[in-house]
Amino acid sequence: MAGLAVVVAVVVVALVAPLIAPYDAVAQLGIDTLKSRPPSLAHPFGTDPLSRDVLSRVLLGSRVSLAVAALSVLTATTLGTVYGAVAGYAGGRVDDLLMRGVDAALSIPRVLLLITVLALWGHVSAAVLIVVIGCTGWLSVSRLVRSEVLGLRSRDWVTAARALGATPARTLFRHILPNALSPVIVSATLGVANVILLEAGLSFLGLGVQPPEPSWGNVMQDGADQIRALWWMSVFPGLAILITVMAVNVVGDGLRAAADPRRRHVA
Amino acid sequence: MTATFALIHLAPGDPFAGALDDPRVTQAVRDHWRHVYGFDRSLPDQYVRFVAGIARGELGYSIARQEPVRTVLARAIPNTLVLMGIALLLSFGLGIAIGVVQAMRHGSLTDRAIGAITLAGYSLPDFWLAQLAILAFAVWLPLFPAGGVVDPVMHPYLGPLAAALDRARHVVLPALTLTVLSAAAVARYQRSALLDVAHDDYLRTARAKGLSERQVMLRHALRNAAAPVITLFGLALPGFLGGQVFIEKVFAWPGLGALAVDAVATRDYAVVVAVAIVGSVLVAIGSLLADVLAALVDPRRRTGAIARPLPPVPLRV
Repeated sequence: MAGLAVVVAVVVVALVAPLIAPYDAVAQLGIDTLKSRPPSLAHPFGTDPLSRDVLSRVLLGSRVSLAVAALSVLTATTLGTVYGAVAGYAGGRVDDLLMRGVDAALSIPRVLLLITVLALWGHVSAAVLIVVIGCTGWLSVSRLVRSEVLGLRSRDWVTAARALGATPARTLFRHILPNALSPVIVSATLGVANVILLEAGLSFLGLGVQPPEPSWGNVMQDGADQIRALWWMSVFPGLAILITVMAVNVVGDGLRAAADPRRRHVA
Repeated sequence: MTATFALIHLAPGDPFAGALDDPRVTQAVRDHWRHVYGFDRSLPDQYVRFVAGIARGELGYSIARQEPVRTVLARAIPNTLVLMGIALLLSFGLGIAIGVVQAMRHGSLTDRAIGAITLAGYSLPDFWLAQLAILAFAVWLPLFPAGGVVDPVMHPYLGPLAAALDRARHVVLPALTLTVLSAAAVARYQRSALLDVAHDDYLRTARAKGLSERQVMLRHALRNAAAPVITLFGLALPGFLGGQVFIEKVFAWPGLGALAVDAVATRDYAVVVAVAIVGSVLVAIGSLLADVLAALVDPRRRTGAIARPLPPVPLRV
């Protein structure tokens, strides 16, 4: 419950960020004194080398980070569910062929693939980020869904549905999939935590959300080359990421325990 | 391989974009250099040459570094393997130990406290932890160097012992950072794998024989819970290599990950592709090893008769 409370709080903060941010997140305050200042009463998280308020940037950055995470996981989960369901339901050669493809693709380190694609994309917008992260994230979902569907398709009630004349598509999507959804929801939740970290990492390398638009990762990048002097540029956005990701993981663990009583101890 | 080629050529720009697209450069000069490096050929033609080159073991020429890609890789791979080897060994050793302790005291305060810590470790952004490590142990408490493999100035003048010490001091921070990150995931996994078998019949038999909980755990349960953890090793490798990209970048560790990031910045196609290929090969070798090891530890796997579905994998990236 504590995890859920924190997640809700972070989402609310992201939604009202423009209202509560003390400064304009992209405005350079005092252009004549272009420099980074340590935390003070006026700027609790300090300012960055372009004299922008770090607290405001972290607050506004949460919107991009959360939106990218939620939407790309939605994309990945949808793709993976359809692919895995088809493979699991079809079985036999189709299944073999589809899943060997997934195995092969899974052996490519995702970070290396993403770095390559994003760097070559040129100007990366949040939409591009969602598509690219979503399209590289469905592989493990498809494995999960396939094994669930494989286990369910020979149950009596599936046979009954077929005997009543349901088409394969209807059997699969109306009768089997709803019963396979709980592990998918768990994996999607944990996936959100993972993608928040991934997006932060890519933005940190300068490959994600492009400045001046803030995201947790690129705020940290702004201070990365002077990390010795500008510790506040790294510590505060990092804490924001840690707290959010931890809360999402706690929720994911809780959902898993609820979805699978046999493995309640996992949480 | 094919996917990498397609992705790279779908994107706009080429390695000359930076140097040649200056308006002061005449079209003739651009055409000349693109012709020399074969970028004016048709895509199918480039693809055939690309595949044929790799089949012969030729990875091409790094335009940004003016060296064969093979030379560039030969420098980077040992650095990556050293760091990866140390970190994998430490994180699996530490992670398994923590998981065993937690499972033995399942439900106790110790279990919960460690659980909270491993959850935090599992939720840390890798590059952030690396930055904090630099701040804490290289800046505020200057115990270790902040980056690189050896001291850039003094190393050539050191004796063999001092040189080895210099290398060791440089590896401490990146290796520990990686260890903290993955040990947390391994511990979570090991704990849950042990608790999965905790109520199996053979363990009840072992307890009924009057063995202590410690003996039951270490002799009987651990062996049965080892296979999923070894499988995790295989499955986690791509993610581990991915995490290492950030660690190498922050610690200026000249391995494959840092090489990939730099090559991307200079649009050095040949190097990017080569790193992706080498990375996938490393992962494939690791997964194969993991499969063989898992079969060695758990005879049920050799015949494919496995009693229990694998627990969900807590993979990062």
